[in-house]
Amino acid sequence: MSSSSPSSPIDPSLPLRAKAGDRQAFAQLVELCYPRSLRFALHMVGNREDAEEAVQDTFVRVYHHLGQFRDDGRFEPWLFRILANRCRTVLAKRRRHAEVIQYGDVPDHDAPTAVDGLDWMEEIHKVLATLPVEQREAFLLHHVEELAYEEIAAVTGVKLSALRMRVKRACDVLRVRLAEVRRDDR
Amino acid sequence: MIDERDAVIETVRGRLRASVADQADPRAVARILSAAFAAPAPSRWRRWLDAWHLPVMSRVGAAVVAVIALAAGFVARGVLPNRAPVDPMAVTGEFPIPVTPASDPRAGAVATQFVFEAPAAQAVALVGDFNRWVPTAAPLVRLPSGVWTVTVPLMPGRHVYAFLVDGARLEADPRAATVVDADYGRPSSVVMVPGR
Amino acid sequence: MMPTLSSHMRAAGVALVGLMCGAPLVVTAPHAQAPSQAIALAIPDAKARQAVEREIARAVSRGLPSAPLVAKAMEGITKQAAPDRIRSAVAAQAQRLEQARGLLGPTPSEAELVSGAEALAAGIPTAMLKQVRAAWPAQSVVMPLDVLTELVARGVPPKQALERVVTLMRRGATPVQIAGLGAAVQADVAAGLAPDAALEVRARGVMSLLPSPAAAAALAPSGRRP
Repeated sequence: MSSSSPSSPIDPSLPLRAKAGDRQAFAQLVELCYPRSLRFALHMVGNREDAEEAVQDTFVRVYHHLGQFRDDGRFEPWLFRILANRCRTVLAKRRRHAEVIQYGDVPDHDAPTAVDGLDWMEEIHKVLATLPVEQREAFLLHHVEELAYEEIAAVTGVKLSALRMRVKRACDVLRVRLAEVRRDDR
Repeated sequence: MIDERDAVIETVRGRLRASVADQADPRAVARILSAAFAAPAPSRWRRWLDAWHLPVMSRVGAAVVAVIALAAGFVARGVLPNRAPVDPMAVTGEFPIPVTPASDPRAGAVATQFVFEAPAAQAVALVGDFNRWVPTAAPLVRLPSGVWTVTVPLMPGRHVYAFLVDGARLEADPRAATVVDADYGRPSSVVMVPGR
Repeated sequence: MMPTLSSHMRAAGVALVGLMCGAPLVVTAPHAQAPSQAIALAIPDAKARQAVEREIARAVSRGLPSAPLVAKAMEGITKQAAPDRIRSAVAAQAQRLEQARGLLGPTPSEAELVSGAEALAAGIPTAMLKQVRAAWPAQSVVMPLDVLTELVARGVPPKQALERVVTLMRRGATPVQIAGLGAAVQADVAAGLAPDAALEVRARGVMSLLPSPAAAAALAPSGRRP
């Protein structure tokens, strides 16, 4: 079970300095948090344009609501709470039940595009797209963005037990569907 | 409930984590900073709305609340005593200055970028008629090259401005036309915003 | 499942619309006014600060907008002017706003007042403001006034500047075209062209895009005020 903190934690003084009006501190926060934010948004909403808009909107809201950030709080859960809401708004607006989500423009940095003749990224994205929003969100926050369950509870407002169930179900679906794909490919 | 990362989940996790570069795209960051610094602060009610979770209600419930509120407004209007006008010259310790609310300044505003070279400066702010010369309204952001920049929404027309360097030194924009103001005798810069 | 923010915001928004409909019925009852907002000007000396505030309050009691006067005071503070100079500047700006109100009547917008005051500060004769208003009686004259101010600031003789701007206004030029003229002359003068020559060249350019005088006369004025 993982309760690890993110790989590069934010210096706690940065959000406090930004809250006090230090715009350079805010700029540094954006630089540090942008890649993770974009990654999460990309895998939630499925296309780069909507993801970038959700991320931009999030940071604008963060900037204007820094006064509400608690001095003893952790910044990343607070940021992801706003970002997750923005992503849900994008998805709700898109009426995604009637649409096929295109993942074609998601770049695949550093990792090889094919393993055993299979485009893993494309398959992963297809399976993610079939997951209910709350399962996808919980899976991404826990396994990809490495937030602890307690932090995800703060992000989503959902109880710990329900969160663990969502992550487990998402993992079950991924295992089964990706195993099927591998089997079919052979 | 055991949260296992088996080979499949590890593969999925690894691919997804690697799907975005570790370094932020500087252009995207610049766009975000411009949008954040240029956007007006949300109104007080908007901040309240964002901060507190209002009770979830159905549309019918919301309509009922709205009707009750309207009715309450009519009743209160008939019942409450009228208030006397505020005398602007009344002594209250400091003379109050009524602020006439301007019409929405956002409609028709044109995003206008300002650039100022000052590699040695610690802080640069844009001050002008469009932000009432308030030094904290539009601070510039320093890029690695030592160039400072900010983008602000300006209404079409003529605007006078200057750069306040390190909170103390007012400098005209070397890239723009200059004018000496009639009231304070200090040089400022001029930008003509044509509008759309 | 947790309701999405957008769905509960929509429901809350409907309720708030109701509340907002109710609230003004109380607030806008006869003789009620919006609360005044004291603005603390950053002048350390209390007497000097009160002198500036009194100047602003006097102007407001004459029906002038406070925002341009507060901006004038803040400009002086940022430019580190002496408090007495700030008070005179605010008084001078109030006088110009009042003059502009008389010249650009019957109901000029705040933006028109500010542009008119700036034109007067740049030395443009009062009669010229009247002529600008007469050329566009129902349309906002912010842009023509701003361009007139800018042309004079670049060194174009006021009479020549007025003639060209008013001609363009009467021929149906849009505010955007007039603004383009101002920006182009500004750039030409910076590049070394004589101001009057720059105006002639650029005015001809805009004129060539406009309908002929007969066609312009046939077009009814839009009467719109942006």
